[in-house]
Amino acid sequence: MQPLKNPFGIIDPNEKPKQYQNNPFDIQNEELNETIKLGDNVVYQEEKQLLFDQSKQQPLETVEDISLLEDLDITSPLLIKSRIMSVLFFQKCDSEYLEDPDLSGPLLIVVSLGLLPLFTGRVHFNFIYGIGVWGWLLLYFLMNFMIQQQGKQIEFYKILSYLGYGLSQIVILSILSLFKELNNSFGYALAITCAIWSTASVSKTFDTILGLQHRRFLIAYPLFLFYCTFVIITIF
Amino acid sequence: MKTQQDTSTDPFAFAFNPQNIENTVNNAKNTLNNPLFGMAYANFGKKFSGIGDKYDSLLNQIFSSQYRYYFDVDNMYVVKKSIMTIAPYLYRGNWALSSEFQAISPTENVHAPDLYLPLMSLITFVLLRCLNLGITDKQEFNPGYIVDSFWKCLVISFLEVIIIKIVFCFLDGIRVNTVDLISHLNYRYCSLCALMVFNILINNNFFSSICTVYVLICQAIFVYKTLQRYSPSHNQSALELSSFGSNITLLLSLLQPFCSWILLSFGQ
Repeated sequence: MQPLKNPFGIIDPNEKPKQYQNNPFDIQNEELNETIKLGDNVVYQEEKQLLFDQSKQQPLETVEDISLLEDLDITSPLLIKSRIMSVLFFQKCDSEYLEDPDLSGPLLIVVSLGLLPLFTGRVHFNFIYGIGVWGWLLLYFLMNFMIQQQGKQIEFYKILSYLGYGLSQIVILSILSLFKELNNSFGYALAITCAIWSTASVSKTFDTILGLQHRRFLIAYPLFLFYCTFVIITIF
Repeated sequence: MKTQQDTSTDPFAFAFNPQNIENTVNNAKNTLNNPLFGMAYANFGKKFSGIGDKYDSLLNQIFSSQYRYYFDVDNMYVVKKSIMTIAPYLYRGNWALSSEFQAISPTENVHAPDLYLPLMSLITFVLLRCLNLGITDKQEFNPGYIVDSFWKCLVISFLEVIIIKIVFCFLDGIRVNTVDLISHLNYRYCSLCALMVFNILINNNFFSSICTVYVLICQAIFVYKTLQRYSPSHNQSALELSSFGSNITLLLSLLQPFCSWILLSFGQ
């Protein structure tokens, strides 16, 4: 007669259940002839080994407290700020700005130029976008035709970047237009000053790239017209 | 408890099963290792990379073609030409170029056509009109007016160029480059800009009407003298049409102030 079995089966606490014996998730290390089973606390085991074996100990990596943007190498906010300052105050153009222009600054400036008139009830996003794009294209073709004599060429996105940074003076004008109506002689004088300021700073950038002497005014005049359109949209 | 699920009942049978993943990886490896597939992928890559080169070389071709002479201007040319549009009677004599079919840079000859001055004066004229409207009628201005003005100017210029081109086609022996014609007929924006500046500074209807008449006459003289070089009277092989030809250029030169008058009166 067979011994009586537990109705729930013979439970042996030392016996492992069958499905966990040959587990596909087990990692087998053939060099050391050991297996890391599912559910093992490997770190604890490594630490236990290190207590006995000092030569295997490796120094822990220190985690420095740096901001997320620096960690990801995103330097856009600082870059935009420095470039806007250099454009507004006629500072020396960085060679980095001339060779590697960015579009995040101009995007921010254009969006602010569209958002600021909303406070006075004017919605001009479509005109800013349309005039910006058409002006950019025309200026691209005009500039490249004019400087072809010297065998140079400017690329699309570089012109867009320089033009975009030049709009920062017009953002200042639109901020002023929120507090004071500019449809008077003082406003017109201020508007022309802003347009000339923008043109001077951007034509300085073009001069350093192209090195034109006798055509400086001819290159600056289309830029002046481009900024005058934005000024007219801002003050009227 | 089943360790596997039947593929016939599993709704997610398309997903990777740990057992089937090896097959798919092996199939991918086989295709990549196959040299024929490799060549096909390489050809695709060349095609896509070649598009950028073609685009670049096309732009280079455009910028280094003969059209660049239309923008090869300098300060003295711009000043002289703008004086010529405002006071064409100061430049007497024949307004002819040394050779009609060769591209001449405007820096060498004041009478050579260019596209910089017409384009800049067109945009300046549009902006001055908007400024005039903004100063006089503050309520009426909206930025759409810039676009409206621009399109009106372009349409009128386009119609003028087409009419003159058609008339020249009917007359034998006259061959005019279209871009040259565009440039010749759009110098009027320069004098119209001067007119708008005068209107903004001096708010007097009498003086502005006198100025308008003067500007329209100057435009007619400018176009007449410019188109004279294309008329058959200068062409020795078509001597029979010489008087007819000079009459035609006179008529065509009257078209220019007519179009300018349309612009000034129906624009606002």
